[in-house]
Amino acid sequence: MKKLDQEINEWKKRYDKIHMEEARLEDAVEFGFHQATKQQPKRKYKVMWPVLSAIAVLLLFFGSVRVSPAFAEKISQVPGMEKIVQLIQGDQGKRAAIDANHFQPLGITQQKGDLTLTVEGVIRDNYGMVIFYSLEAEGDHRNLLLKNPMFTAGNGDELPASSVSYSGGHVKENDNMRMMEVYTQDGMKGIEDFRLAMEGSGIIDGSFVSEEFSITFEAPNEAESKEYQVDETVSIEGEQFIVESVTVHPLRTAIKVREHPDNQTEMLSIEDLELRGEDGEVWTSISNGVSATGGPENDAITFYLQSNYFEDPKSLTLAFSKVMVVNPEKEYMEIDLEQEEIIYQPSDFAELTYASEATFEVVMDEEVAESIGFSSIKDQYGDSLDMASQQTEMSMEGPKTIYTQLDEEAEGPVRIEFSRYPEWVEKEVEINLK
Amino acid sequence: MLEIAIIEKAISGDDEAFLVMMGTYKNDIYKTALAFLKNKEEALETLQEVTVRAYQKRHQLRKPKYAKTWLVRITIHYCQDLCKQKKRVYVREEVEPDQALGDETDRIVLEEAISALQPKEQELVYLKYFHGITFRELSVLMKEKESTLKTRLYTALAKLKRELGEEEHHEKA
Repeated sequence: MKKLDQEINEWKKRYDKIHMEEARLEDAVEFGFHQATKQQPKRKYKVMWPVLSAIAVLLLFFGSVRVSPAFAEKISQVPGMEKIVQLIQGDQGKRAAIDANHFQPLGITQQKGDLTLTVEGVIRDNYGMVIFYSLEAEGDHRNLLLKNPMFTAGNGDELPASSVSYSGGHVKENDNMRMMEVYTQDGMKGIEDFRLAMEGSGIIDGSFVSEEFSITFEAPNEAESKEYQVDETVSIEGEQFIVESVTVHPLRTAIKVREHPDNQTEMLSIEDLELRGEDGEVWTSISNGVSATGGPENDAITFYLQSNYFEDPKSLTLAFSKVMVVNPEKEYMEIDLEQEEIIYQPSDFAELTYASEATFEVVMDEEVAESIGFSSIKDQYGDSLDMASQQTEMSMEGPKTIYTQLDEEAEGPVRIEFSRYPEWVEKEVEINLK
Repeated sequence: MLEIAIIEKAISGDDEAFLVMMGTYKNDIYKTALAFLKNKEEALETLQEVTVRAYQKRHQLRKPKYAKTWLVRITIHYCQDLCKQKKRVYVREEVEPDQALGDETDRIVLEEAISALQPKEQELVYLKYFHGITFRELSVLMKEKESTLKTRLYTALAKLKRELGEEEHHEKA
């Protein structure tokens, strides 16, 4: 071991010798402190499950780019369009929307101090909107950050039952375009004026700067959705699922599936749901954004696929083969926060790494990591406990850590229900729509 | 070492005490992140992110005298997560290692070997050799027996030795 000891020692010494300016270290601490103290504990947005991990955001940059001549022309017309294209690379429906002239360029800027926020443009339909925006700074700057985006109607009214997702907040000189997707349950039909507000911050010429932005803009809707009423019942391993409808919106396709009241299990997800066109084209789920709403507490789930609105295939077939289910009577977790122990879990896949009155951290084995998610947390009386925050850390290979902070202390043990669980019923299903 | 009273204040919500605590351990956090990420800017961003997480989780620090180890562990977990995500991004863009760190073969071989360890083994190697934390302290913080931790560290060292040994073999061949 002598050689190894020596090498490890040299390895450590090397880093001991590396010098970093004290001021820059202090800045980093100070900036983190500002970020932590200014972070609002709760967003007004209702977060809908499943919440995606950071990995999904990274996946966005992979996959081939299909560029048509019309598309290439759009890119050359609007400044910053390449960056927008990069953000939507993973979604063929949004690329087709730009292709079909459905991107509305805005280019509205607001300057505050040394920071400038620009709303570059939007793509919208009656139910949702994708907003592209960028941040720029003057002077010697670093650690630029965009946070707490808030999207409302132009008069400040909240949009009805919205779900929101947005891409990472740290902005760099050559990577300063971000996008936000907002979807409403009841629609934004008739609304033409909108407001995007957010906070931009950074260290500029050595000092911490933070500015509040608010930009109002007009973006009317130009496309109506197409709906297919299906109402077909499918039986898989004794469980019945009713495919109610498929609605093709310009931004995404919504597929509503209901579970039969006599089912033994609860439907959690259909992961391989896809639409097929006549030439073998396939539209799959949205990899970066909200992929479903509803479930596990409701009896119907609406799944979202990439839109084929602008491609408009002649024939359309809905296909899937695996439905993720859970038996809530047996498949749940129970944790005693006071005793710091897991009282019950369906099989031995989770380890409690931290517990206190209102917070706990659970690490899931890597074999189940991808197929486990928490939905609601209830107290011993069956009342739902509100969560102040939940953070999930997961990678493709390793275990998954779920850190949960409750709004208030729980009395007695807490019961956790799953939004994802490694159990499926399987059968090849195909339904022709047109 | 920092006075326990200051850390206790930081835990109970005193922002000034929290900043003093972070100021005391910022170098430990930065160096740990640098050893993981090999990039000064990313190590600084990590120090910033660890400050955010430490602030959010500060009430979880139950043993004030182990504050440094607690912060280093937050750093290690954050870096491990970042490295796993990066494995995928690297396909596109290899991040240049910082020139100042040199490019000696031995160091690269050792660092490659450490980065290939299981996350829990990696964590122990850093805590033990980079920061010289005692098994007793680690046992309390990680809620595992000292003997379990020792076995894990020796397994990790055996792996590293094998990797370094193999490299020697290649050189001779």
